[in-house]
Amino acid sequence: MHVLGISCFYHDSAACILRDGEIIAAAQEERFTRIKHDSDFPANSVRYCLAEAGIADSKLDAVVFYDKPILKFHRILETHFSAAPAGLRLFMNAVPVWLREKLWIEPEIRSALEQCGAQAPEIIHFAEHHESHAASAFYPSPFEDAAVVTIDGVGEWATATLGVGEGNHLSILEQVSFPHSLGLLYSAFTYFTGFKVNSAEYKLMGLAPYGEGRYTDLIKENLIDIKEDGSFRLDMDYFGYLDDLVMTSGKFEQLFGRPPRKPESPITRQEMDIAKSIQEVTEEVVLKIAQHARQKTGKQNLCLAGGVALNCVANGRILRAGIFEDLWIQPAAGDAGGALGAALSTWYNVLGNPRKTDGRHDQMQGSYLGPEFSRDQIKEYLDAQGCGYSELTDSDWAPTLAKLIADENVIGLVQGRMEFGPRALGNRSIIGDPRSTKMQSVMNQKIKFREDFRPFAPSCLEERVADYFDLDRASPYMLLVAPVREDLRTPAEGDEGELEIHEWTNRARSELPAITHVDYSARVQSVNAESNPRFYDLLRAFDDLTGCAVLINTSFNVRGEPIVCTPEDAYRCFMRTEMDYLVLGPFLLAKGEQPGGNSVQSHPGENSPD
Amino acid sequence: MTGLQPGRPEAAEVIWRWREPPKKNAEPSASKARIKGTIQGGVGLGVAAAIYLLWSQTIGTVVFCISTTILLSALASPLGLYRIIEGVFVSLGNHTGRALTWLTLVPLFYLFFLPFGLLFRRGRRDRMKRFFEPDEQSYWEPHKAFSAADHERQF
Ligand SMILES: [Fe+2]
Repeated sequence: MHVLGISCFYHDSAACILRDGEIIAAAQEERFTRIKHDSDFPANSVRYCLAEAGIADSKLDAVVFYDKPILKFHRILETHFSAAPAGLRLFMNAVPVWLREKLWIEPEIRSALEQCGAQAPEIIHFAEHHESHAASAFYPSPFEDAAVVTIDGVGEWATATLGVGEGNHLSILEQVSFPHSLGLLYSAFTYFTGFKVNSAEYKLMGLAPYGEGRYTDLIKENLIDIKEDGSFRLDMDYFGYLDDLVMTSGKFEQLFGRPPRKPESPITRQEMDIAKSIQEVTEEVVLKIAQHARQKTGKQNLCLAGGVALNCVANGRILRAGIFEDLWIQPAAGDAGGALGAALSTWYNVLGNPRKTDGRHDQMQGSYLGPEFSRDQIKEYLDAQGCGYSELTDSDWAPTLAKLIADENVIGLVQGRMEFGPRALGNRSIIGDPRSTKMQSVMNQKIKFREDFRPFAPSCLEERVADYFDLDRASPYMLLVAPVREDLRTPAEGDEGELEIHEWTNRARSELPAITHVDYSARVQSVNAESNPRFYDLLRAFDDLTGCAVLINTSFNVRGEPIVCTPEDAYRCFMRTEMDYLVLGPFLLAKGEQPGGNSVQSHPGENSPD
Repeated sequence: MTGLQPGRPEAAEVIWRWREPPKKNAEPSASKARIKGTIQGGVGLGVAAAIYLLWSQTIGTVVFCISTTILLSALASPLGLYRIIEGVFVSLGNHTGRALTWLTLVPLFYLFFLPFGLLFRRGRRDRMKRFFEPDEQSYWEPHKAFSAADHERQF
């Protein structure tokens, strides 16, 4: 039996297909259309999922949408009842789109599926938004039973929920409702510090370690009322999203004594301190919710999803606080993962199918759920383009790449199935040597064309994680931040707070400078042979050659562009940047051997802010 | 964990069609524009005749002039004058649509949302709950129990 899950029309549309409860494929539409956070109907993702399941042109057994449109519309109408006479601009922006499109989702899904060659069943299911998030967190987890927490911007009404999963049954017990939202609070600060809302929240998190929590009390005294059980309300006088198209109000600006930072303008100490302060508040709320979840459910394990679950610093805090024995976070924690959760909720919660767990392995298959390109497909493309390449044998592949990396080359790596979720986990990644002192600025400025305050994430052999990080468990999805071990650190010199941010960033913090943040933290991915044999082999070969079991792993894209999907996307990105080598499956391409040679075919300025 | 499943090349083929030439914007075709304009002009002339005979000679004459202009421009200058006229009509249509949206929704906002909103707020029925409650222990609200039947509804 096949169940198709769909999420779309807000941001990050995606599709997922299950066969008898097993995840066969899942992909975000942006990877195919090359439009970042594409929110249109995920026609390409659906087509791909059907083809991966081998059921193109056949009738689907169940189709499920990841939220309930009419409940959402109700929330929008109530917002306008509450805001009028203010809010006309917001009303005129939202209501026509709802009347024209978003209220007619069922016929739209039917006709779009027809165009994809599939037939929808009689009934289309609609899961609740946070039910989808919760299901995406609990059902693929290794746990037989667990507390389930979801926190995001907003779904229909809920912005945070607490639930419990047992066997094949999941129920949501309580919720915090709109407009009181931890996700929107974080987004308001993202906006206020000059970053893009719904897209660049992770930059604010990356900026936080540079700052001091000078505004933490100010935020807690004015903007948010946090109860002991983690529930909260916001003082809406400080926010703009109830009655305008902006996140913060004039009162918010008065509170901080300044207007929002203009995007792309220099980052000052104040932005760093604001970032640190909102991060501290977020962590406090998340920790209190986790404590409450433990008390309320009595469960020993916690599952997390929703956009706020991508805040890996907060996740690391939950783990170290020891509230739960173990923690599992959905790698596609944002709305794309809603497609997966909606499908899983239908399979288990609605259809009542049994669920098996072993307490150790999850059902995500490493989150490698997207398309994979065969050797022959890649070769045909490279030959047609006249690209220069060599083909590596299975035994040569890892040692050759390890040697190139050790020689400080930057490599674009495309192999296996594309990742589902916002992180590149070794199949669509740019990799480099973390020991190199220049690597962080080279990769930031010449390859990713992004701000240089952000360090890169490390991928590490799973069995060697404890040699580098204070982390006692696997972190396969790069969703936990852990401190770099004390004995590897380089002490700070003088008062670094006085330094310009790029100077500060470029100071080596440890023996692995490119992956160590200013506060000695790192966003770790642990790699084992089971979930990604090729990438594991590469890490092992690098370890054999250099004694270092860690590589820099950053997503294969440039600023403002989705992560690459096809060999063609990868080749184009490779030629636009100063990457040294490109690996497409077994093929190795050197920049100097390509038609057009070393020329960088586009200018960083062409990349729009992300 | 379920075993790693390799991706099927046939599935990859579905979303990677590099052999197909990139889609160019359709070349404007003079013959297509001529046919389109002729049909539009012809229908317009028919409508003009009906209006002239059955309702108003003045309006019928205006529609006749517009339709004739469309028809003649499509025949004589399908990629020149006809395209300009068509552009003017499309833009007029868009602006009219936008104006109608404003004309219907702005009164709805002020005559319905404003008074009822004020009424609700006076009765403390504001779903936004814009107030802190220092005496309350918690802001958690109970969530409705899950039912399979709910899954078939959009609300
Ligand atoms: Fe969400």
